Amino acid sequence: MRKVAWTVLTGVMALSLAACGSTSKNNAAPAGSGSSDASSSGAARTYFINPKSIGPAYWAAAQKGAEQAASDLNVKVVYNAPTEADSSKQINMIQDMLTRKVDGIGVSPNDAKAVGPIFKKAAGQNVQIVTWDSDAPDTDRQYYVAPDTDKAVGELLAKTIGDEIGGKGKVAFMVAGLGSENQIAKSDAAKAYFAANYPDVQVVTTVASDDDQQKAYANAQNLIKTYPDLRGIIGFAGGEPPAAAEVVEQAVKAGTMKQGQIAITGIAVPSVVKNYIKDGTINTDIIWDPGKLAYTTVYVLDQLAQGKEIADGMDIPTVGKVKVDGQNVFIGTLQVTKDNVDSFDF
Amino acid sequence: MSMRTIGLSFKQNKLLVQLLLLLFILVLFSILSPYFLSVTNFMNVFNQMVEVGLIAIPMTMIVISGAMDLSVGSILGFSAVCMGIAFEHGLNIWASVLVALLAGLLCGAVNGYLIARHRMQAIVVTIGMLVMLRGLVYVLNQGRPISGYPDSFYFLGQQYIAGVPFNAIFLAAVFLLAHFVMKRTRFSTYVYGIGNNEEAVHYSGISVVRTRFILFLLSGLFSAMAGVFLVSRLASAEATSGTNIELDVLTATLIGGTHIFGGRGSLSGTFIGLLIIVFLRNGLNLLGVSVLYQAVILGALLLIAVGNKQFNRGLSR
Repeated sequence: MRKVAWTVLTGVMALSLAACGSTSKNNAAPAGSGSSDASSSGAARTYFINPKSIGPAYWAAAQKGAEQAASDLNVKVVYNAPTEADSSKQINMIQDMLTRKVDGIGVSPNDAKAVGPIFKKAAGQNVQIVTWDSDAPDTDRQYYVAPDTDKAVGELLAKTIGDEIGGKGKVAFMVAGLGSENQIAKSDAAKAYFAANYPDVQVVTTVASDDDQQKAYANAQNLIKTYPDLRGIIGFAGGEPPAAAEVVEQAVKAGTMKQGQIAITGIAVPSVVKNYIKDGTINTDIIWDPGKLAYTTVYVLDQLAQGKEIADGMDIPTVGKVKVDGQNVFIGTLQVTKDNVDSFDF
Repeated sequence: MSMRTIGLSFKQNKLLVQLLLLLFILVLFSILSPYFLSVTNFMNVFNQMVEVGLIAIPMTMIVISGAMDLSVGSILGFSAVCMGIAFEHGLNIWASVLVALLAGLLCGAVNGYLIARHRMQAIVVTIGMLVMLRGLVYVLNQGRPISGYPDSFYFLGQQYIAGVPFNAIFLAAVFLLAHFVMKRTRFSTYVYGIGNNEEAVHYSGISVVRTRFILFLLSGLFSAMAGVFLVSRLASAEATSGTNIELDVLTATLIGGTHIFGGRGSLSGTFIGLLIIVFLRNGLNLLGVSVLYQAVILGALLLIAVGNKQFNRGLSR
């Protein structure tokens, strides 16, 4: 009898604990997801903005932009994703948000093909669909919001590194995921650019980190050990260039490598690579403002939801004029160097 | 005999707590979100829980037997990619499914052979397999997703029969079957026996090696099945498929009251544990709660469930 009583008691305790957890989390929800939850009226349009994962600085910067757009446009934004760049968890989450009857979804797909069925379902429910940062062509998405074409970005990266190493030598690619469309398109474009303009540049390998910072770091360590005569590294996603720079810097400090032996460029948030740029480990970094990218995504979704047209050269507040090419919306890229690295606030 | 009845009544009490917890979650989210309590949402959740649920069946048995299989996520990914590659090479889709299941069985057999026959530590072996198979997946498909399967194949993961997802019906049927096996057969007695006292089982003339081997074989097979259903649901076989799924599976199993050191546990408990974690995640998603908080809540829940058990155990002594 005593045992039964104790079981019931602990059960009740467990429940009340769970209740505490639930209520506190409920209060925390606006802080964690969309700051505009409280301010918006009941009839406000709601958009689900879904990056590839939650955690990396890049996506955190994007969240700020999405929330800024939410308060500027007076709409609700839920910004959420799995903690790892996992396609099936991402799709479960989109499915859940469709149940919540959001007015639009802005997705950066981890797998361009896998989002096909869920996009079809969303389109069937008259939900606006925009992809951002990474595209899912051949699906029901209406627009793709990007800094520039993947081809242009890939070519710019290849040109940067080709110039820095004098058009000759071994180069390695570091990507976030071998499956994502934007990574494939960018690295393919860079390869093609080398083949056409720097035939003496040899791309020795492509390593993937799955958006995992530790893995990116280990990848970079392996690269400099495996290819002692490596001349350049291109990091195609936010976590890769800092990992490469850190490893190279440590090798220089340890005396196993000369300063400037390996040139590094890539796509990275300025705040993360600021020190590497200042001490010359990275000369040029390519970036766009992820906040503006997310802002544009919310803006485009809101335009679509109101039945308004997406026109070339339209002026988006805080973002500026954007280029619209077919179903693509381009906001433009920035080059970060020693001279301007302090002028970015993300 | 008296030990057995005590164990049984204990188990029933335990399940009551989990049922209350599940009920509490359901009621709570019904109040907090207007979208939670709807047929569409529930069917969505059932559609999403199949992969974890399938693997949780053999996992529960293995944990009851006092071992653990951490390689299930990698086996899932490996089987999925094997299927994709077989299909790309022109094999019929259903023959490719068979390839996936065989791949899973093979992985399970390797696990079982090393753990049962050579008495290697299950955790060590399966961590080794986890890392190795995931690496192999990347080697096999160069990290690129494989897609473009025929529409008939999507039946498994995307089709609804009378409003209920086919894969959920399949999961329920398999769960019932496994439940029957674990309640009514001698095999289950061996499994519980090995978890409680391996020596005693060995000296009763029962082959511990064979029982363990079968368990890991089952784990491989079910992980492969989960892989097939996942590919059908997502229409794409990815190198990252199934990453970290073992954590979800183990969480469901442990919340369901199965003892990590073996000997005690039940499939019905695991099923409720599974419902708890999928509904919790779904409800938090619907509320728009950041995944960062979700992880904290899920972890706390595990501590409550397991802590509750330890607490009880200390008292019943």
